[in-house]
Amino acid sequence: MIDGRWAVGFTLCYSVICSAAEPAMDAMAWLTRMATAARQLNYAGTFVYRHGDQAETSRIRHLADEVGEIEKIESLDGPVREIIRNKDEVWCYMPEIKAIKIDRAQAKRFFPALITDPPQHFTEGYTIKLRNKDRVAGRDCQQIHLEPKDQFRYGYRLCADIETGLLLRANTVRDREQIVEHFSFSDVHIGQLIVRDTMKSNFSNENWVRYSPPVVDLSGWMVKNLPPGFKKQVELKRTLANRPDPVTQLLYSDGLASVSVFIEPRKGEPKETTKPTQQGAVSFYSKQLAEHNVIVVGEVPAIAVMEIANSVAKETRP
Amino acid sequence: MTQEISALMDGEVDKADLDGVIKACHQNEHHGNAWRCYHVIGEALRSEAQHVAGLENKILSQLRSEPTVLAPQRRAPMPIFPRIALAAAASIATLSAVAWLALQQAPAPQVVLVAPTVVSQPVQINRDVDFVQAHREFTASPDALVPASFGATGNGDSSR
Repeated sequence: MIDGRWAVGFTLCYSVICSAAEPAMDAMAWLTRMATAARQLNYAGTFVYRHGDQAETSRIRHLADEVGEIEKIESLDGPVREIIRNKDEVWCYMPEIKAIKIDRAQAKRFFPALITDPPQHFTEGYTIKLRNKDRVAGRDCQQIHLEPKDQFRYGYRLCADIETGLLLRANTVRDREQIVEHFSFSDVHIGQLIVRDTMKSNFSNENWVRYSPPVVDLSGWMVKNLPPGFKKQVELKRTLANRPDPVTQLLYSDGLASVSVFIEPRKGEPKETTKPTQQGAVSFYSKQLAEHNVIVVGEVPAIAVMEIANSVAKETRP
Repeated sequence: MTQEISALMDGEVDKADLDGVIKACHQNEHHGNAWRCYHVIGEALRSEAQHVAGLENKILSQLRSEPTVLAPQRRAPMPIFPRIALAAAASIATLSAVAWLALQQAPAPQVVLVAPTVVSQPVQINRDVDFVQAHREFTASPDALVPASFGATGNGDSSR
């Protein structure tokens, strides 16, 4: 076992040293390693998520075996929440109201599996750089920075476990210094045995209300000029509370940042278009487009939500 | 339509026709009056008529002047922000779960009404929270999975 670890360590050191000539390539290899580690390793720990001036602590257990991937996340503060991600489905248990919300997992990312796309995908929007080593949750980690190539996204500073490649910390950074979003393990055990039975829900959900995912629907709406690297993830038709009519939601992502475009029929007189607003990493902008309201929300700079909103159009079918 | 309105009062309208009938009551003055009239008749028959002239309008205008704040029994006081701030705060499940509760048509769970001390533009905030929350369901925030809003998925009418 120890020999194995040394071998891994040695290979890593070797690759880090040898990669000096081609730093981008090596950083890319780290991204691949991070994606694989989050998917294929067993791990259990506690992580903190901060955004704006809010913080949430969660406990996570991730199991990967021959049956597949399964993950259980429990909230440690606030109301009891239990999220179980089983392959492509996410079940969120809300015991105090006896309800379960079921979602598809495809378009949703989870810490520490923030990097899921192939690393080449990130080069369109980011310059990827290896930085110093650091330490998180008592483990040595390698810092990898993704610096934005344009004004349409924030920077990301990742730190991946040297031994296993698992992402231990992720910061979203505005203007090269201000952290607007932060994920970090405070405690993590990697590679231990996890029994599948312990991944079951803590709650018997007899007679609980179940809510199924919104419907996938192609509306014909599109964003003509997306910032480089952004791709459509999913398109939904859903009814939001307080909105009389169903709303179209288009979700775009560049692999790290994501942006939703909502389109709803306009009721009443058009309102004045206002400036975009911002809180933490989230920017918000709404405008009128003929008989519709366009609302754009995302973890991107304000300029990005504006640009995206301004290039929303109805697809012209031949 | 009068038959449908009567059926609506008795809760016997087909789900498929529900929207149409409610819309008719709202948009057509004649149907709206029929709806009110049937209620007065019903109350009179059951000897519970306490219909005060203009009561509906009084309640409505009072409601309009009072912000409605749906909030949980809070852990800590909510700071005052511009509206987007509250929107982001709502991804903390405390607020979203209760907002969510309030929005479900399902057997109404208990919602705690808190005195309106912090929010002055409830409609605007709800509106933005809905969109921010619906977006954040797809981000990595663990609590954002519990959205403030998913009427469609909740009420099973998302295919409409």
